[in-house]
Amino acid sequence: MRVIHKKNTTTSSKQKLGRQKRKVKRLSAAFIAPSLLGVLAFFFLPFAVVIAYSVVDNPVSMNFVGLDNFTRILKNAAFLRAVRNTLHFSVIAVPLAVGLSLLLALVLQWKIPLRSQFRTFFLSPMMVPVASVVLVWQVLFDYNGAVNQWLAFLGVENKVDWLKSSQGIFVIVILFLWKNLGYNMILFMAALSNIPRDLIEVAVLEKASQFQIFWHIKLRYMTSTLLFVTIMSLINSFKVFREVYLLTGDNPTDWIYMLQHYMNNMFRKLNYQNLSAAAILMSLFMIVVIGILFLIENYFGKDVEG
Amino acid sequence: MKKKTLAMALLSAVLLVSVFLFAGCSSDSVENMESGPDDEEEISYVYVLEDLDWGVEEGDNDSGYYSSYGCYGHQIFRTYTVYDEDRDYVQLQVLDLDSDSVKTTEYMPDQNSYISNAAIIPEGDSAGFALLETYYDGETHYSVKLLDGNGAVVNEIPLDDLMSWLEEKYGYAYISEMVFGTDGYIYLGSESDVIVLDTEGVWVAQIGIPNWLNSLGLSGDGRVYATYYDSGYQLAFVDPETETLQKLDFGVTSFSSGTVNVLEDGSVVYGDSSGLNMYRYDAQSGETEVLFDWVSLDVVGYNVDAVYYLDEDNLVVKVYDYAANSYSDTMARVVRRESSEVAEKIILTLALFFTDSDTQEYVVAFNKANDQYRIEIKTYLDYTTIDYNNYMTYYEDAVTRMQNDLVSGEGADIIMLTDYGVSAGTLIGSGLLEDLIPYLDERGYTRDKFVTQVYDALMEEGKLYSLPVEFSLSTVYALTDVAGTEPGWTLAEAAEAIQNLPEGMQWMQYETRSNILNEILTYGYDSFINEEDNTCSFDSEEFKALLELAAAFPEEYEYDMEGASEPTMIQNGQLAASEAYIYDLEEFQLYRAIFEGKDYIAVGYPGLGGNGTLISGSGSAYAISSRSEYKDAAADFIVSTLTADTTWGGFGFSILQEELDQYFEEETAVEYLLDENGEPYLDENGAPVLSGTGSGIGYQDGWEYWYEPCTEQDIEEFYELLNGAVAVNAADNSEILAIIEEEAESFFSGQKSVDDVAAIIQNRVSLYLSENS
Repeated sequence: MRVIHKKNTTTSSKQKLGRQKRKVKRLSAAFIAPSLLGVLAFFFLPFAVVIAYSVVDNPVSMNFVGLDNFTRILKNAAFLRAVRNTLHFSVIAVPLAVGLSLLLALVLQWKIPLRSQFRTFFLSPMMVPVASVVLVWQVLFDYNGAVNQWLAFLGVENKVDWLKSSQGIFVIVILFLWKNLGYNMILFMAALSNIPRDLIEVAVLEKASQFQIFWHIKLRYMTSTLLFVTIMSLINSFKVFREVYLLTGDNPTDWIYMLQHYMNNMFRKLNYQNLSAAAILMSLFMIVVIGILFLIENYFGKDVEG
Repeated sequence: MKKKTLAMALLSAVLLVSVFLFAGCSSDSVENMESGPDDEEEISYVYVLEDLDWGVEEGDNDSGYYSSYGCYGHQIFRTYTVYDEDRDYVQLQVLDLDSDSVKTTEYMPDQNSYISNAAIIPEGDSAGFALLETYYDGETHYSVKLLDGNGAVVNEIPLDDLMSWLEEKYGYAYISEMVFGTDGYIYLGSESDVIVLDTEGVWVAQIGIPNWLNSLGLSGDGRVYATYYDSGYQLAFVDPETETLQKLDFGVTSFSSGTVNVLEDGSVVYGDSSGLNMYRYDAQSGETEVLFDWVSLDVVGYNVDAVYYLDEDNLVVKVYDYAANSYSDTMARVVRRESSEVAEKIILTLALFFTDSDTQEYVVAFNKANDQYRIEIKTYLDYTTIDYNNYMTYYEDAVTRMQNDLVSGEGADIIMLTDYGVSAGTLIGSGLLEDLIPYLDERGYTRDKFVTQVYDALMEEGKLYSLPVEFSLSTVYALTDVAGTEPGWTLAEAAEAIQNLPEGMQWMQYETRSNILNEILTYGYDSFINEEDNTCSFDSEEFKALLELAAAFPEEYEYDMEGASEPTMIQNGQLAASEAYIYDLEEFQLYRAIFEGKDYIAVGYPGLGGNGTLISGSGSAYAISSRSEYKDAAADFIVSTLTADTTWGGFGFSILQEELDQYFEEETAVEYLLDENGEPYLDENGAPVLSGTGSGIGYQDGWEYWYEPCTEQDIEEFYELLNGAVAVNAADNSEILAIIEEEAESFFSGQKSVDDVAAIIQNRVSLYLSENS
């Protein structure tokens, strides 16, 4: 009788546990449902629409054309130019944005005079509206702008057409850095302050050099922040169109013609099929790059996580 | 148990909120909620138009004329000057809407006088009148006469001193506005001043108006307000005590002055300047709502002269005398009714950038004649709230909104196409426009019914996407010594001709660098574009030569009011060419007169193709959205526009061949100058003297031309231009021209070399073209 009783007790507690688990699952599902609905409605649904547009001949007749739009834009000189320029810009701007902001964060960790003022100074571009920033940039880099006047003062005779020549990409890079360094810097400073002090103290006692401390401790502990900053900078570099558009309009010279120019112009021309195909290709590229960055983080940062 | 209940309650709340959130995303949901079972008591209203019964036979133009109109409380008044063999007299008619009674008071003005303005004296039932009387005895005199309710003059205020003051200030004197305030003062408006007098004629105040005064009115609380223009339309109370204007800001930069009513609580009822909607700005909430749109009342809003807001159920409207409107030159009542009392029709939407009077007239005529369908006008450029400092942003936003609506299928059944706004090429490329040919054929409007040259020129790849009601021709007339003897020329030929003009001769009047570049390139820029492979050659020596040619012209011209006119300069050999916009047959004789004694030719626009003459849709051009559910009704509308008469129409040739032939017949009808016996006058050769048209054109230097009846020669010249003329959609060219114009400026101003500028243009246009390849 006792055994049976015991058995009954075990079965009953297991059933109770199972019921509780199911209840928790149902409750979890119910709580997550609104967010899931939101993501479905505002993320997956629009993306599904974009995919749908990318495989039709035009947004009105909506005849299925398979991958024709993709093959067409991959042969389109303007699209290819936009891809090349955007990659070119990202390759220059993202490492600079990550490297310089890390450097600034490290410098501002030291007890230097006016430290908080410097921090505010680097953060201030985030508070200025882009349209105002662009106006300042126009004054600086216009053909008759301040930079050319300074160059003339220094004896450079030939004016540089900053915004309508191959130099344009550097103007955009500077603008991008000016706008983004502060934000990245704050993220790095937060990551640096979270590094266990005892590890660094031990390293100091062990007579490790500053470089060794940076390379073997600080950088390892900042891997996830580094990844986040890199991804955000990469995404922001793809969105630099806003600044370029305000500087040069819909149809700039081909040196600063970005992917977003192509997409914006396709939108204005109601060519939703090309716009959608370009957006999907860009997304695929971003997914691959971000995936690679995650793999790198896993490889280098696994031992310091948790 | 408690935890479970709490969790379930929380879950239900979250789901409920989610459902409401998502429900709120749908526009339909708002309508559903309005008509849902919980809101059964909520009634929707519409405004309808009703005749006003004045209780008297309406006067016509033969027996007299209506001149002044006004309203106080629920009393409406108007003046009717009756022609009389002995002496004209004035009827002062007051209609009391509360009692539906009409009181007519007769008043005899002085000899040689007329009433130019009238205002009701707001004193309840026994309302009197203030009349602004003008009389002439060698000099013009003005006076205000105050009448009691029986028409007896109780006081006369001479305004000679005031008029002298105005004359001295402005160089002329007139009074455009008069209001009798509840404070007992008379408010007179002229140019940039409001003068306030008491009933004894004593000068009380003078309030200066920035720029110019538009109107004066009496607000619901008895104060006098002024509307005026000063960086946008403004509304302000006139304060005679402080002699200042107290501005009333209701967030609007443009409105129709005659439609403004300031209510007792400071709210404002006003109509937009495009005559589309009446709005009510609520002073308490700061919100603005659309009261109604004129088209829904079968009224052409452009023709609305004045609106008087009586209360939320009643307004009175005064409409100009235009043939297309049945409520012509009269006042009508706008009454709020329950929607259920009004017959429902299927709504078609006509989308356009900015409404014009012709379109309103077409729509009103269609709506009146159609029992099943009703067209509503949807505009995308709202000038009532436009910020002129950010016009381009506002404009581009309007284009984007219109395009999005059209693509989504929510926007329109009918689309009005113009040279600005949404590009026809973009809409055609997206498959958004329906081919009109099957619809026209079905309704008997086959190709042969149209002026075939225009019909063919408007077609794109065998399809006709839009149809203007009228068309015009534009070309360049030039001396044959300069432009040669064959119509149509290339850019290079034009550039060479302009470069080699004889000494002392200009190409056209008022030429500037940007003008000349536009004239040459507007229709000829595609000479530098290879359409087959979408490449361009703006870095070629030919293009650089054009830039250099344009740079030789002055940056700006100085308009000389005293200088020689274009005809005089052509006659004197100082000008080689003139750009001609031909929208009626008389233009041909005018250009023959301008070039009289010279050999000239319609050489046309360089690089345009054909004979260089451009066919343009004159006025509105309509298309059917391929996403419309009511394409046949939309086609019925378009067909109805072809034969409709409009007030302001006539600035172009009909695209229907039969109507064009009839127009030519009327224009060339021979009429003779007749004597008192009805016999024609004879000239020195005994031939009957032709009657002139009575119209002409004059220039600042005295050169003038009086039009004669048209002849077969005019018709021949018309067809000579029409055969071989070309149609171009200007909106499709704008981006390339904008790039050229923008970059050329830095060459013209000497900042960059021609090589640098040409290279940048080449770079930018190449990219633009490759985008579209």
